Amino acid sequence: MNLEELKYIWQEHSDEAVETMQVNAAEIRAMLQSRSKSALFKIKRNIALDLGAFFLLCIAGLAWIFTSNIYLSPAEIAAICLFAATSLVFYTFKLRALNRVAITSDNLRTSLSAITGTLDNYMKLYRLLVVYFVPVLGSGGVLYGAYKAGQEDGRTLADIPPAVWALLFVVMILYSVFAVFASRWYVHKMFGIHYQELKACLNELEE
Amino acid sequence: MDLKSNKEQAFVQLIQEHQGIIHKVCRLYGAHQGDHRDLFQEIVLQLWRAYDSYKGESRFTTWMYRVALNTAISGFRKQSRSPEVQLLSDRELEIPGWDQDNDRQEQMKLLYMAINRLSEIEKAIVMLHLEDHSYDEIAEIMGITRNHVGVKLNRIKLKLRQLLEPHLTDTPQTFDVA
Repeated sequence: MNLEELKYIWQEHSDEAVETMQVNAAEIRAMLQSRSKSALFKIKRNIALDLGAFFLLCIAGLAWIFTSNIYLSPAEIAAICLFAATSLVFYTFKLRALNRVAITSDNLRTSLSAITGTLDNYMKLYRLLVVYFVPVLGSGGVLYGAYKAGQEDGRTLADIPPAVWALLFVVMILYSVFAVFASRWYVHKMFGIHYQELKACLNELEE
Repeated sequence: MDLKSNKEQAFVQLIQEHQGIIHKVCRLYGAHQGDHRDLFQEIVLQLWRAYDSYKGESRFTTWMYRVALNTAISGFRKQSRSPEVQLLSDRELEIPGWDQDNDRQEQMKLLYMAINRLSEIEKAIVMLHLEDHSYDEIAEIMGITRNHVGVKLNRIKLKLRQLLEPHLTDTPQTFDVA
């Protein structure tokens, strides 16, 4: 059995098999109207769902602020608005970055190189923002919550006993560690596995 | 009929005419029945989106292979990535020998089993080679040099030999892939 015979078997049989799978013009037209099922489409859909959930959270937060007797200082309102605006920019950036990752009609190596390059940059920024920004923001939130709670009782940060500071510190460390691991897991699951597979293909082409 | 409809009509006709290319890519990269159908649809969609970029610089079939393989390798995530997912059961692989009298379909199954154990890139290269594409065409589709195609094909042939030889138990013939 040589390669020419393999070729003969392949060509004879695969053409026969394909004959039984024929798709007609109406089915092809229907496919043109259908939704993509690509990995990128699924990632973009998940980000859009995230964005939708974030909007709902913002609306719920606003409704709570306006319907409750809670008093927010101008600085607190500004901080909340800044957080919402930053999150919105972040989501927009993510969607725009992924929109640049398109299947092209370039050769496979060029296409893989472009996709892995964009995904690499995307993941770096994602890690920078989520892995570091989230723990800092969370820790700041815990600290500010403690300050506000103390303020209602007429106490300042200086009144907090060392044991409570130690407890807050431990909570912040635990939260940061959890946030870092959870974010890393999420980034890896969402993009990392696909990125590694594509990178392996690219390396194989270049070796 | 407007311009868009004419374009769509021409595209559908081209796909109908050359759909064998897409089916062959799907058979290699869509292990499950559902994957095959989804991948076929995804490739048709990507071909349609990229259709305007086809300027006739290469053969239409070469362009189709480029988009189809890009889609199958870069943009499509299978339902399962398990390397154990094969088109065949172990029972089907119990072929007593491989000579001229054996059923060609069994031989084809064995060939598919071997190709399915290659990497995604190797699958693409060997498929293009089996489809009788020249080294230059394979190089153009994959984005590597002609010499590189030759080197890769030699490695693939060796791998195929290693994968197929254990199944050629009863007949002492060699698997000449040189």
